[in-house]
Amino acid sequence: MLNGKKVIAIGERDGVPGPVIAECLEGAGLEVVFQVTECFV
Amino acid sequence: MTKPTKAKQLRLKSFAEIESLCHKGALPLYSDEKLVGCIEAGHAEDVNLSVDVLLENLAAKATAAHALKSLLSALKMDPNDVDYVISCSEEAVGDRYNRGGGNLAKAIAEEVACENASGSDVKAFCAGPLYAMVHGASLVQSGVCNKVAVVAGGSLAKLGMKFESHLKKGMPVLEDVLGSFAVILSPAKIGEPCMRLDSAAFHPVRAGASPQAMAECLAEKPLAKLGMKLTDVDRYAVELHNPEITVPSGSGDVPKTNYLTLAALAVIRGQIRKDQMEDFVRTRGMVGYAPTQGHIPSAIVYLGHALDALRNNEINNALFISKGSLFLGRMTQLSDGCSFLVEKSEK
Repeated sequence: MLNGKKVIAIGERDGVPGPVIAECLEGAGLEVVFQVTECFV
Repeated sequence: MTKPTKAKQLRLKSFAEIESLCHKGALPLYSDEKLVGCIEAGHAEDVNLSVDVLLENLAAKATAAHALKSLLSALKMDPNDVDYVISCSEEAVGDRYNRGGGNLAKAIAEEVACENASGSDVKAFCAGPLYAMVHGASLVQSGVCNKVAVVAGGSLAKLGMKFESHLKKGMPVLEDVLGSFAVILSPAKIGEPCMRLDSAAFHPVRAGASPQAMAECLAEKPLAKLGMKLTDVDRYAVELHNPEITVPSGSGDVPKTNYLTLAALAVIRGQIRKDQMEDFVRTRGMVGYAPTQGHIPSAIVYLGHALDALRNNEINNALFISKGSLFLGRMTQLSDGCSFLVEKSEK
């Protein structure tokens, strides 16, 4: 169902960082078009 | 104290002169609604010397100098006895040819009349203060310096950082504090609190940025070097942002998240049971209380309280853990961190 979908992954330093989200999503067959980690404090 | 040089004496201008400067582009400074001064750009074209940048840098310098002056006064210490000043403030002093060139430390030393001191800056986003402490303690331990001041001024840019979220929820603007700190590092004395330099840990490039990787690098591994477990630490100082500020703005309870990660690691290693995680957080952690000034809540804010608690035998040790968001500068996707243990010196 998710295969081939394009996603933007925004991670958080004290939670799940962007590259980790991207790796999981790519493993599930999604195309990560942009990923970034933000710090919200 | 040495006498201030002529250049450092206050130069007061009349209100007419201030108003005239404001008309020419100077940034007016108010106390309530009253015009009390202004700040002029350092250069007509260089954005690094624009009024807002200079005001940011000046705020960092002034608040750091205030913290160091207060500390020296409380310790009844002669500023001339300081050998070296390390600034880990969050600013970028410099011109267009050397943006962020820095050495605000020496400017602070001059302001506080530490006439015998030189200095330099340590930059590492919010992790800067703990790196600065490790650098400063290393200078003392190696015999290069006898007394090192580690200081940081406040971040003007972070005042009201999340004010829109607060106002939307009918809350006042809570981020209204410029935080600063100063520490004097000197050779260890028996029975007095000291930094364990052999516990100092950094987050290496290869480590990965997950919270678990951070906890392993900055807590588990350095403690293991000392033959300690996660449960041998009486108090953890982590990112101590005040949740009253961060929860309404959607950033969550940052210290609690950090403590739960440490507790979860202790569960994975079999040091506590899963149903003891809340106890771990309650007894070894604390509620966040620091303003969202970045480098200030990043563990260092607890240092003074830790010294009191150690001297009063309320705790035997405290592990300081800070994190830095290097990725914000777009030069890497890495996070960063630094940690060290503080305990009473036995030798």
